[in-house]
Amino acid sequence: MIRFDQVCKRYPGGHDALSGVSFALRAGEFAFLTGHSGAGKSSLLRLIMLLERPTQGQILINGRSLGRLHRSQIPHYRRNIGVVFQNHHLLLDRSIHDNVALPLRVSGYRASDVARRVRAALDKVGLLAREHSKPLELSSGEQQRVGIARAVVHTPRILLADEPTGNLDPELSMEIMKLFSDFSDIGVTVLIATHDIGLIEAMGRRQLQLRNGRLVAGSDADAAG
Amino acid sequence: MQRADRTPPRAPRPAPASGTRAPQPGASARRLRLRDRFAAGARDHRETAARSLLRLATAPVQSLMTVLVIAIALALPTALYLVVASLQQLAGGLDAGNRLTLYLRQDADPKAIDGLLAQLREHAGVSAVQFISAEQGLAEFKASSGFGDALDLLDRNPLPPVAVVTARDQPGAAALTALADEFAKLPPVDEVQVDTQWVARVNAIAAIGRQAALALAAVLALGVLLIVGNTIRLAIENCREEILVVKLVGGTDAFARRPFLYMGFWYGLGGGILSWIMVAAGRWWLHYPVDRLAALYQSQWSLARLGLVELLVLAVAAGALGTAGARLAAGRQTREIEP
Repeated sequence: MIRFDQVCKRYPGGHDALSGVSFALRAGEFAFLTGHSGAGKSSLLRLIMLLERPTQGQILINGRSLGRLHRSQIPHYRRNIGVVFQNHHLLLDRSIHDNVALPLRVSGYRASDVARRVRAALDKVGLLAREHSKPLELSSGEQQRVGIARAVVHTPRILLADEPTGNLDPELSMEIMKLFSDFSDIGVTVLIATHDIGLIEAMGRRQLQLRNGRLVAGSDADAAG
Repeated sequence: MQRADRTPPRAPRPAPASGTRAPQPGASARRLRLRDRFAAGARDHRETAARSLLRLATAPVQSLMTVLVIAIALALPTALYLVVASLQQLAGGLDAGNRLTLYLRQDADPKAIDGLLAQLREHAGVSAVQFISAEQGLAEFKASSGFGDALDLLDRNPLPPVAVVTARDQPGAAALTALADEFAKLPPVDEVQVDTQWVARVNAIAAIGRQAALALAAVLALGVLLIVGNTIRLAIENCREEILVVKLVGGTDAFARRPFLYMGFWYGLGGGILSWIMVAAGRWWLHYPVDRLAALYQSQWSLARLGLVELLVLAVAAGALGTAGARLAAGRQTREIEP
């Protein structure tokens, strides 16, 4: 589903965020992306989301090279990806419901489908009762869960998360991980960038470890892709 | 969880499993029926339009100022248009000039005059002929002018006999002039007067006014574009986060800029309607003195009215202008705001 082939990303100024990264994730695979801050985790996620283009190498998503995607196709491509952001990225002037509905609205879902899916997604993260609240009325952990609901509401084929459990207590973190794991069970490819060693060990899933922009562990599962 | 994905040999899962169970959101989105997509699109437009209006209402003073500026810019050419329309009405009312005044020679033989009148009455382009002899003319003039005593001092009647010819239908200035030229050649006729000249002058002035109104409208329309554009630019700056999020979840540039286009539309629409109210109020303020002036000239003429058609035209044009101004500002800006 996701394949990196000798991908390098050099930022203006000569800083190499990623160099020679190669790995593959199958459809439905669940993997953690680890490494110190600055190791390139965020850059890797940004490349998958096409927020940036690689300097070298190529990225194949579902067998399709991202380098070939025209600018106008990017929005349609992104609709297949759900992303949980570290800083939530919620719209503060809209209700929780409207925030979660946004990915459905940009794709043109029917009103009845939108309502049903939003409620299902909010139910999964335990926030159905807060549907009509505004983001600022929620705690940081709850906002994080709204972000998760928004990332999964359109059942994307790929789910990316950048420190999704940073603001959650261990028990809730485990529940969210279970939720991500359920998604991978129905075929969603899940890639989670995190520092939470305890969580990674508890889950026992594949680990892609980055150090100074190089993949130092986890790429050996390549044969699987 | 019991699957150990890190052990390579077990990794390739049977294709059917993932193939049948995997959700295919991309595919299902494509499978959405066209009719549903239209319905969803229309609903989205409605919601976006309403939300944009609400957003303007959250900063009422600022929004009102913008609408007011637009209204003033639109009211100027609209007022000029009204003046031009009034002038044209004035000229139009007088365009009933289908009459020619034939001044006959004072020494003309009465028989020749009778022959002329008969000839005129049979003319295809003439519907009526009224003869006013020199004596009748003098009597009328004495009665109406108040110079009666002074006229008595004259030793002879200074007025010529006159034939007032009414042309058939409304021949228009050119045909009327041709008719006048034809009659001027007849022997007993001294001079023919056509009262179209000053109608032509008023029309010429109205034409200048119309051109000026068009030029003013063009310049001020540009002004409205810039006003709305600038306001929208600021609004977009304040909504950076929203545009970023929309793009992160797969919204197109068009989707991201749509709320701002509606904002521009509402600004324009509000300005258009307000400008109509302004000019209508100005007309109401002026029409009493104008009517009084017209009454002094025994004229029914009044200022042209600003009707519902004008309201519709103003509202639509201003709404379109606002949308265009927003599009100009939002086009590049929403494209440049990238996550």
